[in-house]
Amino acid sequence: MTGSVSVRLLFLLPALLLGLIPITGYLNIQSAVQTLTVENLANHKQKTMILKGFIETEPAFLENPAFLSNKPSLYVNQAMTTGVTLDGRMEEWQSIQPISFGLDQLVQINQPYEPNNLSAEMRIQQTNEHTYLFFNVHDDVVVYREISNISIHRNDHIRLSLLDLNGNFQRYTIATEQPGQVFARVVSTGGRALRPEPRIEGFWRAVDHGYNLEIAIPNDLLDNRLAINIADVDDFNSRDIRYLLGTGYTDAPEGLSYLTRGSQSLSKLFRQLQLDRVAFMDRAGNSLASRNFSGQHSPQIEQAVFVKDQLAGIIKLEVDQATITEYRRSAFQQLAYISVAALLIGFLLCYWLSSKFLNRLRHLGQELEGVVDDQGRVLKAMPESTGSDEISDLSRRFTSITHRLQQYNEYLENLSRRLAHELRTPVSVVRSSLEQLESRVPPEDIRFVERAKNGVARLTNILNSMSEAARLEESLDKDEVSVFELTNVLRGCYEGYDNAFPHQSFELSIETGDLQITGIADLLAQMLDKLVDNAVQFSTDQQPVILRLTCEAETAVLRITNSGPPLPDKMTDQLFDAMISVRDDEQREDSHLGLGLHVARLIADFHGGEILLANREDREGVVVSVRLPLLRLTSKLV
Amino acid sequence: MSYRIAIVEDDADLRDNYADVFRDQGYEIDTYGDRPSAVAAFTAALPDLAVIDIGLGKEAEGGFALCQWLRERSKSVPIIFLSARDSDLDIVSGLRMGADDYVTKDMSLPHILARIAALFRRIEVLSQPTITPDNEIICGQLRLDEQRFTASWADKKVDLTLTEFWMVHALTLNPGHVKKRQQLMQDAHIYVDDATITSHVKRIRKKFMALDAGFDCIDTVYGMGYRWKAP
Repeated sequence: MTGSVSVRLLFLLPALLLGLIPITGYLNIQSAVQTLTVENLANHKQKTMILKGFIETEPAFLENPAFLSNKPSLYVNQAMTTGVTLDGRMEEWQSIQPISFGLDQLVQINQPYEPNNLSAEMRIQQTNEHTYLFFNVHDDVVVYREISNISIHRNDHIRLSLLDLNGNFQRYTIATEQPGQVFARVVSTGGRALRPEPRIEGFWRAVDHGYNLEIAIPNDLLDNRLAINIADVDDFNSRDIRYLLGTGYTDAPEGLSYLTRGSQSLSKLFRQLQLDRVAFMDRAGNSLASRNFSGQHSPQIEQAVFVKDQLAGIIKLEVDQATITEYRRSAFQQLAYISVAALLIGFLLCYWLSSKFLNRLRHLGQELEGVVDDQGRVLKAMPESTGSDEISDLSRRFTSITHRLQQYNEYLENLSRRLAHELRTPVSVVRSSLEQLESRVPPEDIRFVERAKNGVARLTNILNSMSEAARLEESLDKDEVSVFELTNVLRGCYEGYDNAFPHQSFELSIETGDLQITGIADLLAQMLDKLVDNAVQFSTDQQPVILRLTCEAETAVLRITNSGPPLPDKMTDQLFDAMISVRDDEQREDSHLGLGLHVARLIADFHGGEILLANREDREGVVVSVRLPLLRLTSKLV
Repeated sequence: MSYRIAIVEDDADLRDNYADVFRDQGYEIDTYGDRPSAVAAFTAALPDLAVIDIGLGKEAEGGFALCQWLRERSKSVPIIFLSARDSDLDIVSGLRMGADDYVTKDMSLPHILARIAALFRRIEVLSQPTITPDNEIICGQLRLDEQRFTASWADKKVDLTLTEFWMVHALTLNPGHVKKRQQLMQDAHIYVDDATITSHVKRIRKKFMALDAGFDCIDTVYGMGYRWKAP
């Protein structure tokens, strides 16, 4: 069985090759994904190139000349809500990117700048009606306007300059005597405060770090350019302006910065081109238009756009890898299913094939089993296989081999008999001649004739024992079988042995009741004769040969024990074969060919029993055990 | 008048040996090496007794065929098979062919001569008018005529061969006494081994049991021999 396990393993090995399926599949998918990624990237690049072409040939898509100015533009967020409440609170402005004012945004310095004195953040958003500004001013000392003071610039204030829809340059200042609602005042070109402008209103809120100011400017007062200054006054007595922080000069149109808004036509273009996850950033990094652009996904394709040899902005396109990821996922899933199925089917197939193959081998083994016994005798014919494959061929070869072996065995079995038969006639010639000679030779020469006759008699003995086994096998087939009493046979034989072997003593012990045996009593007696004869021949001292009959588990067991030399260890099995003898030459008083034990075994076999030959435990002799089943009807006996 | 014995034997040396010995005993001898020559001679004139080997040259069973042929020609000519074959099958076959006795070539010449003499004596006695036999052994239902070598059981004739007759004779000389195999063989003027004795006894029993199914007078004493159970 262990052998067949390793053969089965050999059979399963090819199934392991199926393991290549997931490996090659994985490599294929990886390379496909790579190709797809490259193609996808090229595809996206192509899209950005198209977009770039559109924008560069038609800059009007940008809807904004800001890119033409060298000054940084102010980005205007489109308000999500319809209106903004003017209350000086941050809540509505959290989402908007602030523009910071610090050292770099100093417009005018009257004293050395200390960031602690003043810094600010500004946020801008726009609805259809208004543009809203929110200032978050960090000011260590907030100085409000005194009512009595005519000037509105000798306190903390914020200056606005803009171009109105007619292109006129307008200046405004927002100052207040106290936190709360505020209005802008128009400021003359000379810097004097003129009339209030109630359309530009706001709310001033005092906070811990300074003040918040929220302002609403109607869109019909404001074109696309704006300048902002934050003025800081910290000394209540002198009331001098320490710094101006802002986007640029407020006293001339040159100081104005462009307001940058989103471009509607660019968004429309995105839609028309069916671009997705795309954005256009101006030079300041503000998004002029975007469509489903998250800004977080990588990879991104960036493509600079130039108008009149100047950088107008950058197209950013997020590469959409969702389809590739999805393809990859489903491909791997499919691969997993296929691999598992292939491995399973492969293993099952190999297992089935190996089982089929091994079963046939096992079947062949079973057929071979019992065809030839330990002694090489062919017990039965092997069934001829009718198949046409190699195993059937092998089976047929075995059949043919056993057939030839059987023929050879038959030849061997008949050899002694034929030899005996063939020799008998010439021996008779010699003997009959000697008998004639006997009466004719002178008395002094008769001894030679006697010796010759002795030799011939021995030859005849040998010939008889050689044909005895064959004759016995013939008589086994006859229907002489009856039920008889084994103890009677044993007792009868025992009585005869004293006469037959006058120089040998015997002991008989029957340790059982009646034992009914099915068979041929004469043959069993013949077997006993052979075994006892054998035991006597090997008995060397005066110890008796002991015959002991017991009954063990439905089996009659007869043990014949003699004292004498032990058996050679390796020969105990062969002793029952014809022509095997372990007699020393000195014991060879009688002609002996080792046929006795062979005949005994034939008889035991016929009765369904067996004969075992073993050394006595003290190795001072030999025990022959004969086991015979009681009243057993073997197929041969029925 | 001297009897004419035909010896049919393919081995020339053995044939000549037998011929010489028989001639010394005063018989006329004709020898044949194969079946056709024997048949040709027997067609012309029947011998008084035929000694036939079974294997004759190329004919493995030529002796059987010759015996059959001869028995068809004459019911009374005594036939002895003299063969190297000693299997029960051959012995039974030979006797079925109508042979009066079957001996193997192991048998010594004096024994063979005794058989031949006995057979001739039987012919002589049978040819004489029936007289009350004085040499008769009666043992229960068994009667043995020592002169005619015939046996009967319950007044029915038991067809025994010479060998068988001598064995029964030996057993019944001392009914109840065990005859060892060796003694039995000596008394029956045969020299064969134990197994052949066993098969002879088997055949004798069968012949008696054919007449009387309840026959059990021959007892086997295992390991020793046989005895005739006294009635």
